[in-house]
Amino acid sequence: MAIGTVVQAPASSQVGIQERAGLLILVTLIALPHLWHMPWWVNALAALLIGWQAFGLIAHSPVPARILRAGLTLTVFAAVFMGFGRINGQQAGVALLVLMLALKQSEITGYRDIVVVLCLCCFVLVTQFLFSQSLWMAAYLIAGSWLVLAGFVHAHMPYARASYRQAAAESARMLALALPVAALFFLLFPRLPGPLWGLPAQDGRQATMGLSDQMSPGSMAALARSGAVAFRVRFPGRVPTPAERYWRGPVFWDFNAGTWHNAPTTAKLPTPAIDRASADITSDITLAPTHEHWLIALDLPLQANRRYHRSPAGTLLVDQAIDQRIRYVVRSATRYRLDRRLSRVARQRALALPGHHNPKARALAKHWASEGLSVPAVINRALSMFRTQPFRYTLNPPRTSRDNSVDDFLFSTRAGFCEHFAGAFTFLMRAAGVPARVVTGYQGAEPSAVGNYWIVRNSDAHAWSEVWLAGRGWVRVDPTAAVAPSRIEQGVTGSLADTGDLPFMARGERSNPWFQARLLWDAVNAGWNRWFLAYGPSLQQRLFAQLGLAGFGTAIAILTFGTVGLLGLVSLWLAWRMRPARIDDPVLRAWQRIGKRLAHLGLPRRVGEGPGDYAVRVAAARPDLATAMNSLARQFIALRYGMSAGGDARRLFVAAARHFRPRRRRTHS
Amino acid sequence: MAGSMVKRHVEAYIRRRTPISVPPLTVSRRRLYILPTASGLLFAVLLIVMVLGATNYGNNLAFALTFWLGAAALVSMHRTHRNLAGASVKQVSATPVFAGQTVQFKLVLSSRARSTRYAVQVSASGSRAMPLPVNITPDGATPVDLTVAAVRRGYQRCPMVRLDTVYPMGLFRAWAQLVPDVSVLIYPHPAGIQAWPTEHTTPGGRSSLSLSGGDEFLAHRLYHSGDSPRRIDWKASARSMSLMVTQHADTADPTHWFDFDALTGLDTEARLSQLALWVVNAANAGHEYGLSLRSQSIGPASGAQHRDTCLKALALH
Repeated sequence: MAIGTVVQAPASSQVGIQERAGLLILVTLIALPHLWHMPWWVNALAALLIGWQAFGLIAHSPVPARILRAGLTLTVFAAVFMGFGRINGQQAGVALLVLMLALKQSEITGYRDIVVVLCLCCFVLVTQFLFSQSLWMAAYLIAGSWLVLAGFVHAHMPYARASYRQAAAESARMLALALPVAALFFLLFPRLPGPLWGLPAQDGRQATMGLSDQMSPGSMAALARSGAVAFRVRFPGRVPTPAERYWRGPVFWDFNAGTWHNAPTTAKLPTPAIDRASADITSDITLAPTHEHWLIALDLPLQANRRYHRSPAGTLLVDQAIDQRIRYVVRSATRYRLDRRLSRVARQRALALPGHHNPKARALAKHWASEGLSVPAVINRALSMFRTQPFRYTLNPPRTSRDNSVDDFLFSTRAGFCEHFAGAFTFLMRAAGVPARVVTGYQGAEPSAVGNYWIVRNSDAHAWSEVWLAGRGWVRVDPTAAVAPSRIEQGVTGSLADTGDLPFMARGERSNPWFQARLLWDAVNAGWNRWFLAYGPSLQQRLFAQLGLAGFGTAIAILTFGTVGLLGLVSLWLAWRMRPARIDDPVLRAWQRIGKRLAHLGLPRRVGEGPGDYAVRVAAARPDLATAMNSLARQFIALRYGMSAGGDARRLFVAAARHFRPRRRRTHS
Repeated sequence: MAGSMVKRHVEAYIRRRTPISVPPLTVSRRRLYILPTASGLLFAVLLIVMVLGATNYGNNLAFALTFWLGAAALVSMHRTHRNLAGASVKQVSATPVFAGQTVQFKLVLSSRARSTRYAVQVSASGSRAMPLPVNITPDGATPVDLTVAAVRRGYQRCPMVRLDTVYPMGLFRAWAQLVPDVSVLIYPHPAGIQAWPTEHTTPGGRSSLSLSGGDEFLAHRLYHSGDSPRRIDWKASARSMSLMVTQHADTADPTHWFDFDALTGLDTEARLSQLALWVVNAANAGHEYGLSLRSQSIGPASGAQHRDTCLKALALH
């Protein structure tokens, strides 16, 4: 570095076959989990490159010619560009990184190359977590760090004496010692909210399964096939009854060409008025990333412990899309009055049925309205139609046309999933002159095996309707619940729940050991999500508040002093490991103790000075110690160099040495 | 430029703080220096990029990995420090060489620590050489040769010994400098074109007899190391209870006298070089020779010890 004539390259500048083989294996292991995230052709290309290097190592072939390497580099760039249409961005960037790292193996000639490859390995390691943050990835993090650090250690051992076993041990030791400091950093290092430079475009990344900002026939059924956990929830107080477990998500006002959505151009709706509501249920929710803005919450959410605003339909929204797992607490009311007075704009929008499609459904609703039925009677008429006519609840409904989807569903196919029922019901209500809208979210919750929490899965995704009744406000009507509970076809998903009844899994499979194991594993995952993954800017702020920290300044100060202190302990432990070896011979140890005691008095034993000479010198300097010292030296010489090494004599000498405690000479004597 | 100034000052500071003493010399913690290496800076940049990425994506596993690697790097700094602190140079020895050759200081490194000190590089401070690192095992003594140029005749002190280590991760370099108070004799560079002196003269200018191997028996004298065992007169030795060799007058193998003052027309160093060359040649040929250096005269005699005495006198003249 800057100071001194530091010799730069440590070991040898030549990298041997063994070292290169080790690095090749390391790179392969580190990049392995990317197999699941990369397109097949990237995997094939990487395997080809690595296989080629391995073959080159076995055949002892020299480093490939520069022109070949340049050609391969260009090929890799071209392949990535053609495959992804770009060379940056998450997936393309990672593909490029992995391929270049595989290619780099062929040109490792010196120490510099090894360090670069090892640093790139760290980078590949971190890119894995962009794709998954499961517990398996945590295990992979530990194994990967251990391997990469062992690679570093191995590269810095004397070449001929380098041992993978020792390198692995050293690496494990360092990582263990680093754990407290790392934990301190994890907790106290300032976490800034939000992306710094924006998240990459989702090139090729499979879209996250979850509620969407529109609803068309088939969209909820697709979601219901996924058993992935949407969120986990704890109820610190009362647990909602099954019929109350409606989780509010996006609400749709506008219907167009078979799709329910929120048109962007319509006039702004007022914020809803909520009254006669008492927050009677608190839920502590850990939500998986949705990349959307809504905070899923038990119907009807009143307040949450993070910054939110309320949509015109009462859903809680946050400013930034939820790209990370978050944890929040919501207080909800199961009895409430929502918008007892409906504004003109809202009423218009909740009644709008543009166009003239679905004529049969319109006619049916008009017929009900013309009979002079009250609004509740109209609702009942519609529900009883679902109940009495042969409607089937199914994950695989026949296709309906785009423009006349409601007519097709109501009068010909009569098979659908919750979105068909909710959509058709809302359509009928509007046609009958009753303000109505579609609400999507989740319905149900499944208790965990351990840990006292509840799981809500994608398969619990649900859609229902809200109708506006004078004096009551918006009232939830779930037309799906009108269809018999035996409506599930073929048990395709195994975790399909549709009504206020107990979810299927909770009812049917509780005794199944596999199901039990899955639930147990879910409990582990829940802890992982709740305590590790959900830790972010807002939880950090809460932690600081609980610890009484004023803010980042104090946290950084604690972090600094804590790190210095912990590293001091690490240093002490390392020093203890390097402490001088204990001398086996108690006699010699006793003699050295004598020397140490005399050294404190300014009479250290000189290098190469024999015990006899030392005793003479001590006696000359301190006549008061002469007798004792001479006796000890004589005994020591006899025991150490003489023939008689009797046990008693040794014990006597050790005891005498222990009692030899020379004092500092008093000034007057 | 400023960098090199700083570097010079720091070097001078380290030199001032480095005491000169007789081996064993131990690396004390107070005289152990540590700085990040180029690899260390690269690693730091990597960690910064990783922490920015982790913040951007709000990715907790990325945070965990970054902090863990960073903490491990800090632990490795202490490990590097402890790897060197307490190492010692137990012995330093060297055999004399001629100026212009290289001198090998044979160092013996040792450590009283329970664990091995890995990958310690030993070099002469300031040299550009890149020595192979060695492991200093707890029990054994690790030999290391330090090769430096023998520049001038006379005593040459062992150079400042620099112990370096980047173990375990190569992110930090710890080093210490030790100055063992050990010197080696450097003989004058043997060179010259002057002819071998044929005149057999004693320092006083008197004609003398060659006292060496020949045919005509002259006397007995005490055995010196370097004498040919064949010249030992075992009977005479038995009589006098000490080893005696026979002395013979020999005209074919005369005693040479190498006289400093006789070499006129040359400066002192050239004369010493010439004398050294003669001594080496005479010793190689097995001749008997004497050396006259102003006030000092050595010999005549033969053998390795005599040769070394003569060369030492020349080196220190």
